[in-house]
Amino acid sequence: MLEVNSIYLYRNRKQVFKDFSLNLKNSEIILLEGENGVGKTSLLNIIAGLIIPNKGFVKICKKSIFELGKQRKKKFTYIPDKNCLKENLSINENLKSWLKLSNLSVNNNDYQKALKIFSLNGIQESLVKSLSQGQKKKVALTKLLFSKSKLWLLDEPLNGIDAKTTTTLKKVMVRHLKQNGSILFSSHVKSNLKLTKRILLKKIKKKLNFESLDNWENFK
Amino acid sequence: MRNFKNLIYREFIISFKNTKSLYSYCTFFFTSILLFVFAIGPDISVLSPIYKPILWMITIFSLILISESFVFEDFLDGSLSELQFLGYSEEIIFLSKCLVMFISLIVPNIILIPISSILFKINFHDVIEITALFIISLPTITLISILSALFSLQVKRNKFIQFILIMPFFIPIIIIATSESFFVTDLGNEFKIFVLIGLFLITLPLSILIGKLIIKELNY
Repeated sequence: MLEVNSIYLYRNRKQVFKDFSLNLKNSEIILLEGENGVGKTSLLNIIAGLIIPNKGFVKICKKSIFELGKQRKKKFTYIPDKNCLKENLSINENLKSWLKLSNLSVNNNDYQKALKIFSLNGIQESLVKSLSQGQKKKVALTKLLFSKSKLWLLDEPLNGIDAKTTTTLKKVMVRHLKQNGSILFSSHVKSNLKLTKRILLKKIKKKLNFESLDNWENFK
Repeated sequence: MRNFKNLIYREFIISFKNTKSLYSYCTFFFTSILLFVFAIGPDISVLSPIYKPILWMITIFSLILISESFVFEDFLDGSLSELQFLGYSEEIIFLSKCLVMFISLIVPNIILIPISSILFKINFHDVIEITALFIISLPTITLISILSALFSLQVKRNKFIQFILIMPFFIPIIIIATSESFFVTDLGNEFKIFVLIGLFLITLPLSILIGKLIIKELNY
């Protein structure tokens, strides 16, 4: 599904990644951990094609991210740390605009169901600027429910959401994995998801510290 | 083409919901015009000849002011990155912003220029000339203004550097547009329209290229 091969990245004359590789297969979930500034968002941005690494490559479904072009939106869904919502538009307008940009069509019944999952059904006409940070995050996460792509890239999805929403999100993620999907996500918050792998990113001094704990599961 | 339409539609919704920036444009325009009128006094023989340079300088400053709202919010809320990982090219993003800014500014200017010309006692023939010249030049100055807004994001919102970098690009347009009447049917005045169109044709590919590079660079 996802292949990150021997990535090297330098930023502000500092090395962020040195020979970093990662493989994500179908029905797998990988958690990226690490302190602030270690490169979690940079890694997700590299995978999403926003940052070009100095060396190495990323392949999604055996195709380079840059070969995908307009096919990107079909192959993966990326929910960045920033919510990507327009403050002057309502929840409905934001989501419908995103659906249009993603060339996705959802019938009204499914649309309402998706809003209900994250308890947004009563406030869908509210302007985003009137929402709390947690509610804004929920709107951003609702995009996952419309997504038809197999690969999900989530940057700090558990940030700012309450316990109930965290449980809902985990259920949504588990359902996606059961449907043969894959998830790569970063988080500071400890998760009780059954993970395929946890990758702890550390700041590079001379050599990249890479720690992978296979079969790391049931963190409780 | 469908992608471009989707993007234009999105930009229009955002632009028309964000009336605040259009309001600030009109307010800034009128306040500045009034300041000149009050500062110079009611002597029409002094006011009328300097109307064109005053109008152009105020317009350019107003455009720089409003252009920020077309890219600044997108950058802050992550939408600029979102559009890129959804597979929209930087060129299309840049062009859609310019096109929507151009369209949303035509109507206010067609109203504002004749109203402000009353204060300077400009005759009807000259008002049409000024408005026509303005509409011919507006695509070029829109391109440069959006580029200026992107520069301000790139140089970490350092307005001083932004003005130094961008202002020289406005000078040829101001020189051509503020010179004498182009309705007089000699070769020199017809030449003026072609120069303005020529400037647009030079600015278009250059600004698309620079805009693309800046948008890409903003992800780092």
